[in-house]
Amino acid sequence: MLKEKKDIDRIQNDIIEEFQIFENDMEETLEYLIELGNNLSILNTEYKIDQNKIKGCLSNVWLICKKEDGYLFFEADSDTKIIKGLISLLIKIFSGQTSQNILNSNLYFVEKIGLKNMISSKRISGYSNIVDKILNLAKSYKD
Amino acid sequence: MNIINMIENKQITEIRKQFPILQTNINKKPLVYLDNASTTQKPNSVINKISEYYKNYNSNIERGFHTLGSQSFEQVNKTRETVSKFINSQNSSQIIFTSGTTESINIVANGFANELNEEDIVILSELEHHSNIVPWINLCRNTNSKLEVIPILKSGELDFKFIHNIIKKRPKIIALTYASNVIGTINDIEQIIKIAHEYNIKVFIDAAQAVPHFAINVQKLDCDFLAFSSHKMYGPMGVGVLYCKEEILQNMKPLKFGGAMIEDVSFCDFKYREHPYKFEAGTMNISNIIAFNEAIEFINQIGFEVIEKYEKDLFEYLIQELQNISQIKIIGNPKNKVPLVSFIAKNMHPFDIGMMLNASGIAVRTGNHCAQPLMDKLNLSGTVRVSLSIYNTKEEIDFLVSTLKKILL
Ligand SMILES: Cc1ncc(COP(=O)(O)O)c(C=O)c1O
Repeated sequence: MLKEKKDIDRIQNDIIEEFQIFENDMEETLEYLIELGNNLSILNTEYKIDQNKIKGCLSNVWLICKKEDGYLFFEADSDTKIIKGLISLLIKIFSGQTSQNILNSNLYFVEKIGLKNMISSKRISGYSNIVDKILNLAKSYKD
Repeated sequence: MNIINMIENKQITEIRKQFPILQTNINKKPLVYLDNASTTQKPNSVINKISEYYKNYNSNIERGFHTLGSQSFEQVNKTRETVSKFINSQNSSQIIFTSGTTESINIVANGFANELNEEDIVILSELEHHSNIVPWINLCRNTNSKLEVIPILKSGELDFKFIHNIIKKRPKIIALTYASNVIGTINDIEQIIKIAHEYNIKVFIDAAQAVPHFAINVQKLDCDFLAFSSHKMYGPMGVGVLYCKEEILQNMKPLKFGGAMIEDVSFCDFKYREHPYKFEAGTMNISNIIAFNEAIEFINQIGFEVIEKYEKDLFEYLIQELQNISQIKIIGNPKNKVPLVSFIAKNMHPFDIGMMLNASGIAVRTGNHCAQPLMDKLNLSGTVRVSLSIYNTKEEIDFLVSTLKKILL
């Protein structure tokens, strides 16, 4: 079952398509992100420790990674709803992939769904720190 | 709301027309710019002056005699005169052009580098912006002197009891913000300067958040140093001012060394020029210094009487409307404030609020506002800050408030 996980670009394309109904309307895009964030399964408080916190974000973001049968699975939480929504998309893309696939990936969906300023304001949103953390975890789980 | 309506009808529409950026759309919505404490927008007169400079008299000043060079020189001096009058300094030679408040503070802190030792104390307050903290920490580190911090009361005002006590320890310098960029508190610096001078203590004032909102009179305040940035008062980026008392300027060491600041130079020695030039090494941001003059003229033309009245009424309206939103908690309630307010909401992170407002074309600032120690003291990770300016309107506040109500529902 796990091996049928779609490849990273296909998932990104699905997300881009999913967001097309908002026609780049910022308000609706963000509201949908918040909804996605609310639906993200809760990260157990035992994982909400400094070690799992992503540095350089102005909000609190925690991310953990587990490896099962050669695939990586991510769980995360944030006290900002929009970032949490964004993380839920990253998890949708990366959870269930191999380290190698993650490390070879090229992320482009954020710009395509009208959230370019998440990237340009990276110090505030912490977006690039989150992605870096995922890549670093993928590297550390590579065998 | 009488004054708002009166002034607004007559003047504010005209004022707004002078700011091309206020006509733009953000996320397909008309821009509502409420982040004026970060930087204000610029009127056409300022924007045009910059291009006029490059079209007509671009040249380096005092690097050989030619017509263009002396035109630039005259224009820079004109701004120096205008700034001098604007803050009522005795001489325009007490006005040093810098790249901004931050550089001005660094010059002052560096000026104390040879005067402090391990027995000395530097005093700051909890209200300071990082740029009025870090240069002083650095100074204390380099001189092994001690840093003491004036705490704030619940209201967001400085603890005067602490000031009275700490002053007896005879610190060398007190570096204070005139107005807080997070809470808005206008400090009673006149009082503090008076107390400090009784003990022969020098006082530096960071006026970055004060200059656009009310008149400053350095002679009346009797401050030893005062700094501010052009970009927070309708002027261009990259230009700042440092005012110092005459007798300090004679002896203070410059921070930067290089061309334009020396009288004589050989490979063995050099001799400084008089101030302000002593502190203005290298080629300055001439175009923007010249255009800065137009920003002050813009303020002068409206006049602080009108600015203060209009901003005060608009600000009171903003506070009253925010207080009506039950989810919102306003940070601090000092008696005297510049027109800016920080708040948090029970049910939403400041980042989310900022993003959602931006989606509606409303620009506010979210985060720690370069005042991490203050955030720590207030036990906050961040706030949303709304800061007003002369071109903001009651309609914009209504739109902000209705959008906030919708978001926080
Ligand atoms: C109170 C205060 N001081 C200093 C500064 C730094 O000004 P600049 O970045 O123009 O040097 C700011 C800017 O936000 C400020 O608000």
